Amino acid sequence: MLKIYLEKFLRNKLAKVGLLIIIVLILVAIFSPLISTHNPIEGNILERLQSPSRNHFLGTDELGRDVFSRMVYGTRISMSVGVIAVGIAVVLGTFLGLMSGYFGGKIDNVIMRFVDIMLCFPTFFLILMVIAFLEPSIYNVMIVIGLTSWTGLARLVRGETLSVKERDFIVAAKGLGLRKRRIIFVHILPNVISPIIVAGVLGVGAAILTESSLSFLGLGVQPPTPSWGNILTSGKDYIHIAWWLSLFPGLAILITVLGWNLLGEGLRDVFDPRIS
Amino acid sequence: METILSIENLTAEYIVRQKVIPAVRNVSLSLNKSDSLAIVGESGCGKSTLGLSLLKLLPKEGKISGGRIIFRDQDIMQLSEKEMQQIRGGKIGIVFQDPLSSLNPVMKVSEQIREILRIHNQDFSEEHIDKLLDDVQLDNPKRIRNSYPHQLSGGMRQRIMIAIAIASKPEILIADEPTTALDVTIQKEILELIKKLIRELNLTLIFITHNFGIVSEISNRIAVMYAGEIVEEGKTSEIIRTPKHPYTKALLSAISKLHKKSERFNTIPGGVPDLASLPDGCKFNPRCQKKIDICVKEYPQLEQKENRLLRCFNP
Repeated sequence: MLKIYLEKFLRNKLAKVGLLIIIVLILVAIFSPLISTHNPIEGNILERLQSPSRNHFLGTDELGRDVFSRMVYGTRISMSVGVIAVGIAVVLGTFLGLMSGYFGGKIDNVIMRFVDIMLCFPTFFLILMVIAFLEPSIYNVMIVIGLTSWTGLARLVRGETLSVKERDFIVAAKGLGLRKRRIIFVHILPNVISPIIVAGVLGVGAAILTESSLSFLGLGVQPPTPSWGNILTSGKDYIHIAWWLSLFPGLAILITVLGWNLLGEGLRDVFDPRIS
Repeated sequence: METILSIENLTAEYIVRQKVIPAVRNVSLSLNKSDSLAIVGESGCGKSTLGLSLLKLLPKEGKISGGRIIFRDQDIMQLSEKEMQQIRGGKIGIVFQDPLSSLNPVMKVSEQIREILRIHNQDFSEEHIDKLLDDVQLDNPKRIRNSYPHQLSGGMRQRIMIAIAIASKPEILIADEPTTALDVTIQKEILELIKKLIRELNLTLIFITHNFGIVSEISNRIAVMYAGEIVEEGKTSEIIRTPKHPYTKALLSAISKLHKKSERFNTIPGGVPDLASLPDGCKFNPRCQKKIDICVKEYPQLEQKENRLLRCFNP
């Protein structure tokens, strides 16, 4: 099974590119202190707004901080926000989707109507509002993004559960005296895991984008902690004289989200039996 | 002989779009220890519903609306879901028709067997799993154990289903068309296997099938069902030799015989009746060749006639 999936994955060029991008970014995030050339928080004000050079690969910002080093540390923030936010969303969405699909009836109705209500809010403004009340910190950002992005997944898992629970082996499992909890988590969950993986991976890209937007608006990761979003914010004030301040973090966001999306779509093809 | 299971006036219905469909009507049966009973009938006659009812496993559209099921001294109808879980797979094992769809496609065989052993408090060591695989005559247990269902053949998968069904040493084994999805040579092997296991484990068997051809090999009693009720019941040898009910006769004559040269199969004219709107009188009368006036007017009861139970005015 795994071997077939692996072969299918390796035949998909774009998915490989996506995976490569993500592996590189993860390595950068882990080894930030080794890769960065300068201190990302403290700069030399005398070297402010320098264009890219041998000493400062991607130039310096308005406080004389090295943009390259700040972006390397920003990778940590972006990746961890993306992964943890999606982690929260996956756990929540999967659990509620399984309950909704398996038990049906009232439980299903309550959960799905709640999902409908959540989907009525423009998510981004909901996040903005919540963050405005809490203090904008990286942890709050992770939690709030996670708590607002599980709805699609819950619907997806519910739908899959509805179809899996009608299959013969679930009847057989009941016939053999298995408990509900075991049927749900040991027999149904592994059979609905592939769409969860795909949605999760695609969700990381979206979460990173949300985090960058929040930071750009000043409600995400707070300076001086570097994040791609807040580097962009300071960049917008100097866009006429210091293009590098806007271009590189923008590119970083683009490439990262692209990487996650390529990987996600590649995985979707891998799990799709109609695509050989 | 000790009675192990008795079914009294069992009625089970499905409710589909607010219409009540009585799939099993007033069925009474009793099974002694080591009996093997075959329940025979066309598709849609309620035989599988009967099998599922015994374990209270009907889909949510279905419900048991009347009657009692007594297993040992327990009334199954009165048991809680928790107590049922002890019975299902514990005291009463079940084998379904299609072994591929009845096994979880993403779990290794060993996991699926281990699971059932563990929840019914049996020894779940690797040696015991190997022994079970050996009991159902699967060679190379190591390979089988580490395989996923799709990597095995249909016959192997059905043997695994049987291994799972007997894993907790049940007293009764319900086999719901266990050979229908298999080809003929494998059918024979599976039947031999079930026979061997009945003997060795002293099992009581309920064998649900539409295939009269294999009934004589496996059962000592037959209950023929039509439109949700039993129309004839008795010893296998007697029913096969001298069928009395026109439906049983028709089913038996529909079996192709190798030694008789005939151009076409005998078939039963007409189709299975719509359970939601059954005919008056005898339910078989629209298709019956020996119909007389009373068949349309009155409803025949299941009565003791000579050596069997029969529901017919004009046998």
